[in-house]
Amino acid sequence: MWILISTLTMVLAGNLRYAEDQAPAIVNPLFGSSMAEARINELLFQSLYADDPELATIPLLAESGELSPDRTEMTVTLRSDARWHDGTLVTPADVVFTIRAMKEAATASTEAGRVAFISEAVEAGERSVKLRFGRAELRPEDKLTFKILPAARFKSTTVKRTDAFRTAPIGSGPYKLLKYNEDNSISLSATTTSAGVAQITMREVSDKNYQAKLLLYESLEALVRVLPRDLPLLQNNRKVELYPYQTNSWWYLGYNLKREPFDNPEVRAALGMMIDIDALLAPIGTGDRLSGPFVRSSPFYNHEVALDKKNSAGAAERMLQAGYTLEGGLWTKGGRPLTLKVTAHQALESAQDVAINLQSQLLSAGVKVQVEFLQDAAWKSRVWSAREFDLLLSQWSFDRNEDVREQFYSKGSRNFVSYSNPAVDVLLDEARDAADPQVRKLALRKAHQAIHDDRPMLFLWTLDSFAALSTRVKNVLVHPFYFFSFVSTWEMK
Amino acid sequence: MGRSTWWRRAAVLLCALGSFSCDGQEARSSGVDATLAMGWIMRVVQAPDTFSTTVDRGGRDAWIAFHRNDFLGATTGDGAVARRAWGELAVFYDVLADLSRVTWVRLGDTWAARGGPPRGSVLPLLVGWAQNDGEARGAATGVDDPVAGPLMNAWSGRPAWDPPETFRTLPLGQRMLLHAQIRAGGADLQALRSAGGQPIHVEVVAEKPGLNRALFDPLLYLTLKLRADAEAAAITPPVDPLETQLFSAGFGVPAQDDTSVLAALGVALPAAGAPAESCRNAARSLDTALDGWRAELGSLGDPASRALLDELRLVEGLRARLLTRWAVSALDADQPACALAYAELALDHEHPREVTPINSPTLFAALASARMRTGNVRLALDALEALASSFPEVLALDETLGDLSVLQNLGKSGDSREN
Repeated sequence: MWILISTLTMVLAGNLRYAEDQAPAIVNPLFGSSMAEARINELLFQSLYADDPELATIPLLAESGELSPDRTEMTVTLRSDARWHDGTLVTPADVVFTIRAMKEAATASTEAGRVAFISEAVEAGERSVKLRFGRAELRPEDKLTFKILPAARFKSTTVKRTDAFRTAPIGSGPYKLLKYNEDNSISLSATTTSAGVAQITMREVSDKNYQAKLLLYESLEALVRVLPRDLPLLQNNRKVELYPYQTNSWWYLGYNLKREPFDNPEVRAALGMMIDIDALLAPIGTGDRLSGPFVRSSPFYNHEVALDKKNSAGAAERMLQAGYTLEGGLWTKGGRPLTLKVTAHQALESAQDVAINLQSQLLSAGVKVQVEFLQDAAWKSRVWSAREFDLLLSQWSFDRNEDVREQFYSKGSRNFVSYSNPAVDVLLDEARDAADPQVRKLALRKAHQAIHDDRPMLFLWTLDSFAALSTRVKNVLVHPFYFFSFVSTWEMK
Repeated sequence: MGRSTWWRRAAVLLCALGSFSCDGQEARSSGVDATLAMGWIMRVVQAPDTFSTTVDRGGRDAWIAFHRNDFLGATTGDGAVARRAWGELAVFYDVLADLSRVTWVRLGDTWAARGGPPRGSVLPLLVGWAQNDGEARGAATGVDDPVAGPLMNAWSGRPAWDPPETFRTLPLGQRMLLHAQIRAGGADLQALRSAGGQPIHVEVVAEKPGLNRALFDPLLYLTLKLRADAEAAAITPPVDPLETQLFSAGFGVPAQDDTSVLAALGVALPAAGAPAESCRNAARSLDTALDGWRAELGSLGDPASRALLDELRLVEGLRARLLTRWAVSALDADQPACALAYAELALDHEHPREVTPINSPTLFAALASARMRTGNVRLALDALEALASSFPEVLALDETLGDLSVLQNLGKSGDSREN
């Protein structure tokens, strides 16, 4: 009988199939680094606090929180009905475990920065956990948005990426893992029979050009990011509607500042002047050029910083200053022509077009370029851990806080390029600690200028960014960053 | 195709091909939806000569600007087109004025929730101004700026406002005087548009010596709206119906208002308080009706008429303007979720950051307002960014909305991901 009811529910409520360029390599919020992982984690896991539909912070796994008078401690009481997908209760031990695992150096969690403000977490009763902070916090609940994991599924707070949890995740979110399928897709089922969408399937569709067609042929119900060139096609189809999504994203070419000759600012400036960024952008779609680490609509974008322009004469001058001479059409130093390798993630949409175009541009300017595309595991190992690369072609996406601290702070966990400028550190500290929005805006606009001048990266563009959903999916409200946060309100007809 | 030949070529083609009567008397609308066959789009297609005459009468460049939603450019035309352009600008500035008001109020509320406004700041007074068009003398409590406080309290918001002589030379006094002059019909509107990109008041940030806080003009868009209304009213209304209806959000069906036309098309706007999905459904019904009509128009068999429809994107433009009007009405009715649905569906995603014949400035303003009111303040800034190059005065709102967005998220640690 139960099977009949649940089957009937699924038929009525339907299966929402969405496409990712690449299936998440692992499903474990301790190690999430990509948007694809963030999206599936949003379905499977919950945090103590989260955004409501108007993006105000509300309790989720938490029932309530009490801040000490000096704001250095908070006691969070968990909901009595919060359960893991295996039916067991979410406990204070799970919260304590999660925070400790994220902070554990040996775990090397990508989320370490998000719990850095918590100095200690201890159980404080059957349903309560006490959090101590390194300093007074005005609204700590705004930071308690990282996903909570079930302690019982791990042996210790030192967790490896290869832990069995990655293929058998247990969460407390609105969907639970049904199965990994042979075609790399992942099927999830709703944890309640009242869900408007009974099943969600993440389909890996590595050919981005094919995704829009699948949506039009009704083999998908959602595309999380539409290629700019597919926008006209989709907007004229009445079975599909477009929603703005992930708009705080920007592309960059990042230099490995620990490697010669990219540690030389003259060489970085010269390389920047050799590249016609508009010509790189044109074939892949429409977007806005950028001069720094924010999109143009950001309150932190410094509009006084000029965009980089191709300047062959200027590039030559800089290369000569850096000790290079042009021999046989190639910039050479010590008898060796300047050769660099551009590294990109295999799943980065349109990266091949950009890389090939870049290779051609730099070769005509006298620089040999090799291009490599890495699978996810190799990317994590080479870029995130070992930092073995010359030049990265990649994209960062930010939530509405547009917090670039981890990317540009000297000790930032996502500072792959090894950028370090004490003055920028001071500005980032100032921005973090600001109690006045104008103080934060000014600090980050100054940081924009300084980072642009230091050129740890060549800032490229932000692309027009929309998700597309079938009109069969009703009551859609897309979270601007996590996508699925409000999936409980969606319905399939 | 060049500006000078753009629609004339299409119109001449229509006449030359002889498929239609160029005086508009012979209607060949067989098969086309009976209601819409009487509307202005059909009349344009059937009588391109009349269309050309109308366009030439007001100034072709002005009509081209109007069609492109370049309302400021269209105000340089004569008669109807200028009147309508001022009217469109009034609507645009009205949406911005309302967004500005709500933004200032939420900024005040957010500061209050965080323990109160910055010490000594005139911010509470500006919030009061925004709420009450300057008549907020009581809001001065706690404002200890010796110049700004009394000056702002002295502002009456009335066109005949005459500030005390001692205030006239101060930047703040000059701005307020400019407001009064613009509202009274004196001074060039451009003067206020240019000034609007500059702060109305700069004050020292008490907790950060050496840093100034820049506050922008909360009354800017209201004054611009009032002036645009006055400019429109000063131009004699057109007699020719086509001048009133061309490139409008109306169907222009004689003796029928748009509500009854919509009803005839099977489109029912949802009642107040209906969920956003109902509003999306209404927009989908409109699409069904217009798509069917466009297909019928295309099947009339005349390549010239199809060229005219395609070049001017007449049906698409009507759709976008209708949805934008619905979005503005939904904002007025305090239904921001519906307004958001209409505005998102109106947007031409092929050029989502540009004013185009489909994407009007009012659409971006409504989109910003709807996003802000539904809680997504940061995304509202994206919509305003699209207006920045054409309307530098939007900077004032952009900075204030930016302050709100940042203030709401102060102390949060952000999340970032690759790809």
